[in-house]
Order: sequence, then structure tokens, then C-alpha cells
Amino acid sequence: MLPGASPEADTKIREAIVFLHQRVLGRNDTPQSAEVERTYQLFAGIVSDAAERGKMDPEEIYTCRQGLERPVADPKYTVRAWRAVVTSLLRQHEFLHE
Amino acid sequence: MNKSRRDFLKLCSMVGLGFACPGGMTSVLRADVKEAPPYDGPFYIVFNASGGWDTTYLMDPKGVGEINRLYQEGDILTKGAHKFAPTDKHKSGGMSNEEFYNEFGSELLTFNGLDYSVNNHSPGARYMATGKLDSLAYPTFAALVAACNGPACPLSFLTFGNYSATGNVVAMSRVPYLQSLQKIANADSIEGNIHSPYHDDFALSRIEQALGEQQAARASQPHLPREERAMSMLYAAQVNSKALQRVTPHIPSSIPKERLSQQAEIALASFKAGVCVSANLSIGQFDSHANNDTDQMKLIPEFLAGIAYVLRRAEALKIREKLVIIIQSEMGRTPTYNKGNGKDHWSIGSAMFLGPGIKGNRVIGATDEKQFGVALNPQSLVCDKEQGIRIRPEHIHTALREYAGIAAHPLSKKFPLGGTDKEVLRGLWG
Repeated sequence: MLPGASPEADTKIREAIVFLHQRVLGRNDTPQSAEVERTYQLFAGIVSDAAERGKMDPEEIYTCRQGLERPVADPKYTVRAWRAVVTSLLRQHEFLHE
Repeated sequence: MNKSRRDFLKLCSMVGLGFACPGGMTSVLRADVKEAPPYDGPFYIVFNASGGWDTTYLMDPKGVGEINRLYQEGDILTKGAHKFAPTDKHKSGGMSNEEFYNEFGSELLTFNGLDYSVNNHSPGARYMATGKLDSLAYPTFAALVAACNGPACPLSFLTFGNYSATGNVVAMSRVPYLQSLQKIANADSIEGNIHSPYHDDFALSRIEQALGEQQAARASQPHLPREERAMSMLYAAQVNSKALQRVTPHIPSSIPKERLSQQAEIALASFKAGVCVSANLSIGQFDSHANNDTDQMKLIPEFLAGIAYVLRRAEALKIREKLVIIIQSEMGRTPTYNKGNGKDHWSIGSAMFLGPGIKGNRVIGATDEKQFGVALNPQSLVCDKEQGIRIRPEHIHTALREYAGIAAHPLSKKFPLGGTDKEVLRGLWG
């Protein structure tokens, strides 16, 4: 699911972000909120950067493959972008402080 | 402001809530966070002989009255102004007094006859580390100087043991192993291996950009000051933690085996990278209630070898001229042996200092032939049984704060050490 590919894709991405904000940060944000928009832009920006660079490894970064039988396919860099999203959430005040 | 609102604000401030006032605390906390420039010294290391060293086997030799079984008064050696116990024949490893004074005596300031006032480990360690006996709230000198000189350094105050209270003025960092330093210096890589990053560089930049934007957005919204402070500190810590990457080039490829040398490498790499102001280095087991001479002859040479290691490595790293060394213990040992050939706690001891601006080849203060402290005139630094005073840790700490240039700092003022002007040690540093 690529950001900007279609309205439906963006809706699903935003729903996923809302879910992560609730689970990780305990925030009840709406899909169009500024907080969700910021996370969406992070996700979209990374995918866009990767596309611009071209010739990215089509699989999950080597050191994060976790010993799976096969590396996770990541031709559009979305797996790595989602991992970056989670990293940013784990570094936020709401996750680290009660 | 009417009375009820004023009372309400007072009540809030008492319970730590406070209010976000334009131009006040909130504005300070909303200030732009930028990565701090590398801290460039001076650097401070406090060496601690934990458990209580026998000063008569080091810088305050006696050799009389059955105080020492390994040498007599006539065996005492000198190097310049220093007198020291001969240990070359008794050490099994490390560095003898002879070697130590030969190499560093000209730079070394010794203070003998220090009155610890207590002879229990816990209060003694606290008193020597902070200069305050009757409070648990005071920061150690190492913590205080770190808070005054480099509060934004990611590892401003490192400690490897000893009493390490911070007085809540600075964060205390414990990095027990060189491998740990590697890991935290490269926290965005798996196990600190820079070749195994969690994210590509451009993704990491995006994450940091998003966090920066979030910080800016939240700073524009009203929050309780305590919450705002926590957010601001977290963001500042994340920004400044990038500075830790500067440590990596200074982490040695081979890890020394000795206890103090390992601690030293962590501290020195952090100094060199400009991410650390001070460090407590410590080794224990000096509490020689049994077999005093055997234990002290093992530990003092190990301790001195550790100090020498630091000084030599600092020289190699080109930070030696910015390094201040304080050498201490929380107590001394009795002038008599107990039935187990050990020595018990003694409330008189010594300390040594070395660093820029400290005139070496000097011994200030003394103990008498029974190892009791001799009063000292703080104005002339001459022993004076009639007019002198007993020099205690607060006198040393007052002088240390002056030496470090932090005596007038608001944080130092917050933790006064007492004493009158007449008790200030004039010219202690030379």
C-alpha cells in the first residue's frame, strides 16, 4: 500500500497510523488530525526518498531480518518505512512517560 | 490578582504544578534545542580507594610505634618534598610508591592529616565525596562540577562506584564496560555496530525531522510546566545523544584487563569526544580488617597503576593538560594492628591532587607520630597546634569549588558548605 497511490490507500494508511498511535502512544487521534498527518508525512517521505534514490535493496534491511527463512520482500521500501514510523513513536514522550 | 487566585497559585507551586506564564519558565523550556558543542575541558577524575586505605603505606609514612610492620622509620623514602613508604619489595603487581613518585611526584599535591570526623564507611564516603556530612541531599563534587560546566553533555557525570549522589543537578551515567559505551554511542545500530544500522541514513533523518516538528508543535500548545519540561528534556536528550557518536573513534580496540584501566578508557574516550565532564573511578576491597599489609600491598600498587594509566593515556589522547585528578578514600586505617593482623577504621587520612594550576611537589598538613591529625593554619598552610584548625572535607571541597571556578555558580550556592572566611585554605593549589 503506497502513500498517494489512491484515496483508498491513503485512508488505509491513516487508519493504520491511528491504530499505532492508540496502541503505542495511548492517543485517540482522528485520521485527519495534525498528529496523524505528521506521521503520515514521515511514512510517505521515506517511501518517496527511497524511490528517488532508486536501486534500493528490494528486501528488508539485512540486520533486521530476524533469522526468518526468507528475507521479507520490500520492493517499495514500505516495510522499512513502517519500521521507521514505529521507531519515531517509540521515541515520543507519550510512550516513554506515563 | 485577587487573594483567592494568589492563594491558589501558591498552592499549585507548593505541589509542583506551577503555571505557564508568557516570558517565564515556559519560554525558557520552549527555547530551540540544538546539539551542544563538544565540551573541551577541564575534565575531572575522582579516584576512590573504597574501603579505607592505609595512608601510612603511601603518602604519610610512619615506621614508628608498631604502626608499620613492613618498614621502619629509617626506610622511609623521599622524592622532592614528598615522603613515602617503600613498597617496591612488597608489591606483586601494579606500581610501587617508588615508581609512582618518581614519575608524578613533581606534579603531585598531597594533603595529610585530613579529619574525616567519622570512621564508618557510608558517612565517610558521603563526606569525602560531597564535603557535607549531615545531608543526603548534596551532590558529589564530580556531579556538581559536571552540572555547572556541562549540563547538556550526554554523559556529563560518569560513575563507576563510590558515593555518587547528584543532588538532582545532573544525570548520573553508569557505563560499566567498554562494549556498553560502544552500544550507547551507536544506539541506532544493532549492538552498537555501525555496519548494522536499524535504518538507512535518510530514514533516520526523516525520523529526526518528524520529532523536531512535533516538538515545535507541542511547544506552541499549553502544557503543565512539569510535562513541558519532561518533553523538552527528552527531546534535548535525543538531540544531544547524537554527540555520543563522537566517542566511537576513541574506543580502543583492545580492552585492558585491570579494573581501573577499563574504567579509565571509558572516561577518557568520553572526555576526548567532548561528551563528559567528570568521572568517579573506584576500586574496592581496601577494608583490610584482616591481613592489612597483604591487602594494602596488593591494592595500593593496583590503585597507583590505575592512576598512572589514566595520566599516560590522557597524554596520548592530548587531554592531559586539561585533566584534574583527585585521589581519595573514605577513611584511613588505625595506627595499630588487631589480632587478625588487620587494621580497623581510622578517622584521619589524606588526599592527593594533580592537574593544571595545581603546584606539585608539595605536602600540606601532617599527622603526628601516633597518626593523629595536626592542626593547620589555613591562612599560611603551616601546621600550628595552637592557632590552627582541623581540616575537614568541607574545607577541601570549598577549595575544590574555588579551583574549578564554580564556587559562585547558583548550583554551588544551593549547596553551601559552611565554614568561615578564616577557614578557607589560602593558596592550597599554589
